[in-house]
Amino acid sequence: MKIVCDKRTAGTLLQVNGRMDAVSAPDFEKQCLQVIEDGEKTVVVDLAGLEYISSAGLRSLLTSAKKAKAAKCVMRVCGLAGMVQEVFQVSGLNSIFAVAATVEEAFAS
Amino acid sequence: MSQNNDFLNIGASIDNLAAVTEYISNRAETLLVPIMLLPKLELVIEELFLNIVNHANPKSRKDVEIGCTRQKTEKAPGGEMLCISTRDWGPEFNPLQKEKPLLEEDIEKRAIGGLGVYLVTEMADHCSYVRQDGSNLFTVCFKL
Repeated sequence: MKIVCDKRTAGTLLQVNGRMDAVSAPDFEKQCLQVIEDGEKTVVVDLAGLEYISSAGLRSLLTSAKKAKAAKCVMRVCGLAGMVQEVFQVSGLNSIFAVAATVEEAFAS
Repeated sequence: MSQNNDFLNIGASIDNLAAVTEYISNRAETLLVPIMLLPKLELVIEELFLNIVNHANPKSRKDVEIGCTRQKTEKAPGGEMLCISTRDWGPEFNPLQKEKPLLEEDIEKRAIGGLGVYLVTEMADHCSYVRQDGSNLFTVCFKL
């Protein structure tokens, strides 16, 4: 898994690529929580480059979203496709997260 | 770790997750499974294997036995299913008895865990559990 962190004026973009499984998910959680702890108020997680996610990845996203909410940070997700989109739908996470189609829409909403 | 045509025997450790996933991917290719099914197979084996690592880590026998075969069935239109099985020798543990997670809870109330087995049962066409000769045998099948 590769995570690209892009700090913008509108907030921080985290682009996640590859596979988010039980081994790699803690890395995402650590990086996302660091952005929130640093005081960021808008975080967009772009999953367009993510090929695979398991329940461990969903747990890391949920944990991050809970911390974001407590810190009054808005966390949005975009770029859901294929298997990742199906897992989001089945697990009900697409109704918990603010989901946008693209990065631009996520920052604009 | 040992492997023959039908089974992989491997230690119940998260360090072995990549080897387990690779075994399933290779078996799927050998068995000519449609490539679109592969992400679901990888998800199912990760959830089942980690369930054993986390909840049913055997004390007397450390290995987990993993199988992946094509099986004839009358339940699928094509007459065949791809079945993944996991067997461990830990305490009796039936994942199908776990309660369904509350999916409609909002972000503050939503439980963080409990999604793994639920994802398996939702993705697969058929799941079964049996306690057999002191082992937990869990089988997950997909229509081909």
